[in-house]
Amino acid sequence: MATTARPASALEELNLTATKPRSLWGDAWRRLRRNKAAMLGITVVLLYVLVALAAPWLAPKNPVTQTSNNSLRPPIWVTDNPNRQPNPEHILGTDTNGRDILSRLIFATRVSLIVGVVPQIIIVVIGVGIGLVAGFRGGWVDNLLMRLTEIVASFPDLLFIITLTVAFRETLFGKAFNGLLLIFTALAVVGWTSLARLVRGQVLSLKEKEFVEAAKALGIPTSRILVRHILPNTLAPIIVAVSFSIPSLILAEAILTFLGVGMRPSVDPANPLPTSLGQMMTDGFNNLSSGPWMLLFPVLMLSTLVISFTFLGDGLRDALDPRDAGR
Amino acid sequence: MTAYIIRRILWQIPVLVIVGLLTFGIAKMTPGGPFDTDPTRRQMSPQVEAVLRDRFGMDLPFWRQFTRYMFLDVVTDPKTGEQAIRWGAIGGNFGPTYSSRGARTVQQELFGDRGGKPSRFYYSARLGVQALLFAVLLGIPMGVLAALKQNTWIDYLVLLTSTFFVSLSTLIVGFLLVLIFASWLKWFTVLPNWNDPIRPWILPTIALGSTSLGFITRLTRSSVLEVKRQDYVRTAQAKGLNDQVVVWRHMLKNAVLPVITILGPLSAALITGTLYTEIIFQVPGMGSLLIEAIGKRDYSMIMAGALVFVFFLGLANLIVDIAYGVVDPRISYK
Repeated sequence: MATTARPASALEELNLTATKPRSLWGDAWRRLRRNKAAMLGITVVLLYVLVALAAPWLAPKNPVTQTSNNSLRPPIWVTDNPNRQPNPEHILGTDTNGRDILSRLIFATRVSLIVGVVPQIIIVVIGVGIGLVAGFRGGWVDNLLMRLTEIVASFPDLLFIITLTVAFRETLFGKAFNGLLLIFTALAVVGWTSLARLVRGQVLSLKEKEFVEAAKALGIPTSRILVRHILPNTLAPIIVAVSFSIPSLILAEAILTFLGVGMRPSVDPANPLPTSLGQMMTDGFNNLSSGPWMLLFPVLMLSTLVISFTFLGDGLRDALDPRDAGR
Repeated sequence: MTAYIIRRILWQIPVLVIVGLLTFGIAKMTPGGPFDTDPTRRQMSPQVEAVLRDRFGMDLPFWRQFTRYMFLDVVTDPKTGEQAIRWGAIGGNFGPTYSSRGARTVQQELFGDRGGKPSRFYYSARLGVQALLFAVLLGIPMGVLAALKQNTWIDYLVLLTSTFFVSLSTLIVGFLLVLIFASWLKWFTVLPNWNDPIRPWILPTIALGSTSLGFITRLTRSSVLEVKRQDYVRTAQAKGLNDQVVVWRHMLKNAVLPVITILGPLSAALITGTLYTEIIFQVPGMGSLLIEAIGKRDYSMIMAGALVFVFFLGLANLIVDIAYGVVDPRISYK
């Protein structure tokens, strides 16, 4: 990596500034590459993405098919209980229904990643939209939108999500994709407020800048000014906010499922999204005394993913906002 | 200042009403009623159900049900014919619970004592306060220490631990604590004995406080680093003041100010965190009661839970704002 290959960096950087024009994004990427924790984070996240995509080929067993007389086998290195010997076919052991834990983990990463991405896209669309309009229009539109934001934000988000999921759980909508569609919607409806405030604040300061005034003077339509001139300048803080919000969405799925209002278990062997890490943790927690490995592995899997995203987010923040980099 | 506090308290009222309206509306839209019984078991007779529906006012129009619940209702005494005002949620009366078929009120369930045992509210409040104290009393010294020893192994260790706590959330930290200390080391029992005044509280307090601990540590560290560079600190050092005096008298006072500002959002996280912390560690508090109520579709309990949670959230934010004004005289409230 670039971190070791640059001993005389101070002098070199000076030359670079003199000779080559440097873009904001190029600079940011250079700073990000030098951050070891962030690069580790990216690597792990990409690894998870690969595992999720290749799940049907990677998983040694079907994650849903149950085998009789094979339940609660410990991982293969745990041999101290003579009544419950491991089965060499199941490296990480089996759950109460005799299903292979490793295969379930591999498939469960899919749900965790999707839960981190799909609601996030909705959040960005709503949050950026409201923030842009409120900040640029000002006046009563701003006042109304910000009051709305304040009310949504003043409701404890988890409680709001729980209420929503409870209300619609038994409907057709709530049953779609094993309840995932409802989780996505609930997370998005609650999650946009901080992004809207962030974007509004950015727009408020940007719209006083000379380049916006120049664009206005040239008679460029408002929508074009918003999209071409203001939005690109708010991208950096949006990217940072998104990278921090993805792990909290992944955790929210686990929390909801643990509280019994999240994803439903699937019994269809052909289901591409049969289980989630939250569901595996709930199963594991309910069988803590007989099979602690059922809880341990999904917890480790989720922790690694969440911490990797945090490292990446910290790195992105330092890279995109160099004012804070010295701290 | 007084005007500001009054305005903040008044702003809480529309928030609570809207929260109540939302929860009430959602609860009403939910398919399945509180009197649905298992079809294989003995059914409630239509007469009994009619009496219950009447007692809970379930056949009134929506807005009447809502105002009756939220604000007040004029009730007529059937014998004397006298009219009296019965206050709703704003008067602390959350009505009877559906799951007890009206035998017990929500406020009895939440705040009343249960056969000599402390109330549900006591468990949640004590857990929350303990967790906050744990986070503040450990987080500030850890942050100061890390900042004073910047770029040493102590600093890196503190940073790494706090990053873990911040990103992992109470749920994962709770699971890890259960796995390590209850399941593996067997220092604690999985089923807590609440007659013991200390032991069962340790793990839930750590789990619930962990996220706040991480945030407070990181924030204290960066704000001490900021203060360290200030002129007045250099002046104090140049005067030849003792290092201890400079740290405690000159730096710390200014460094903890930002910590007070995040106590508001942190108490929000603590309050909602009790929901699953109480389930992981089987604490008989309000959080676990609310989750049970959701399963049983106990509308009055769900609404009361949401309102009580939002109320305490607003209260916590208000206290934090006032505290900030008291500690930092530069802040003026308009």
